[in-house]
Amino acid sequence: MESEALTETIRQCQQGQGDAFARLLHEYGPRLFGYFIRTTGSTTEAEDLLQDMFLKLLERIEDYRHEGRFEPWLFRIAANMIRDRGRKLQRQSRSLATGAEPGNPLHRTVDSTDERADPGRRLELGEDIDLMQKALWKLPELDREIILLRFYSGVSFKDIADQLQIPVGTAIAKVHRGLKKLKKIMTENES
Amino acid sequence: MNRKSEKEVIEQLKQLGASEPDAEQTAREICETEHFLRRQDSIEPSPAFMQRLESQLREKLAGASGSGHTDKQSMPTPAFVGRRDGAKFPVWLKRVGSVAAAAAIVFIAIIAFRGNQKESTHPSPGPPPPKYVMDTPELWELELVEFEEPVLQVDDLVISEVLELWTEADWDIENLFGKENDDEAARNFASMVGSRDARKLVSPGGAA
Repeated sequence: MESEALTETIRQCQQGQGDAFARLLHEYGPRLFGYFIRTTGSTTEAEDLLQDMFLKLLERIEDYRHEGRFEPWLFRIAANMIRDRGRKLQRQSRSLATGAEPGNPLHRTVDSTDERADPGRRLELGEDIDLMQKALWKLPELDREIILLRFYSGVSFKDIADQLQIPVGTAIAKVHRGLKKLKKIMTENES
Repeated sequence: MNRKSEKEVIEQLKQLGASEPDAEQTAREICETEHFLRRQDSIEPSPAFMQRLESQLREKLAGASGSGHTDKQSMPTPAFVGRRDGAKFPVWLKRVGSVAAAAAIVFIAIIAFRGNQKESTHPSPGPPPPKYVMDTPELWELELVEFEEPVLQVDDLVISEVLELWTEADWDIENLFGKENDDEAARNFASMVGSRDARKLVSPGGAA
């Protein structure tokens, strides 16, 4: 979306216009969905997260002051949601380790989420995972996060570095190495 | 990566001390690999889902404009918490779980606090008489294990969650446990949690 059109759309969103929100959804929804699905490995979770994200946006857009940095702002919210999800999963795993019973619903939640997070298990379950997803799961978590942020958000390395509180050089190096590794894995698997 | 972005990467790498050829090669490699991935990446949200989400946003806005603004409090409260395997369980169950966690933390804290009090108000008499140690060494071990086990289960994340819940709900701890009555606290806790482990925590014999 061109800069002026985006400014106007944001202004209309802040006035509560449904059409403007629909434009934002169709402009950024697919990329955010891609980011969510590649990070979680689950279509269902990606849909849930995208839904939550836009519901959050409805509430937060009023506070947003547009200075040409809408995408970094949007993907910062998305990345925070992924981090919150990670913390929740960790918490659930710990609750499980400290005595949840097999009959407890929490127990099943952790199991089922883990199944979806693990591409090997998902393959066994017959779910459709593409080559890129499998290759991504072979990267360290931070490398994967940086690559996905860069790939789907298209924001600058400086913004990514600020967001993750790492030096710019580290962000570029990780993306460079990680992408090469991804390409190698994917090319090998294809052949 | 577009042309502008490629230039930005080259500039940043040069600032970091890379030579121009190295910086250009790195930027080119990043750019080529991103193109390669883009060709492989065929994931998109389903049109039906996007349509549903759009309708939901419009409905929400229509609801909010009725009240004059988008209000967090006006968000509908879900009746069920969705699970990833498609099934759902009621929100009240999640609440009960949270209450149980709160109860567990407070109960453990009370046990730990009393244990410490005993230690501080009754100076240690020193090592037990040799006869006692020889006769019943298991008793000492058992006491230590039973005292330490619950304390080890305290989790910082759980504590922060409990504090959040108290802040939100403005709960009164005395109502939760009964006033200074250990037996009542134990019964309340066990009935709320209802698990075997919880009962063990309250009463090592298994029955609360």
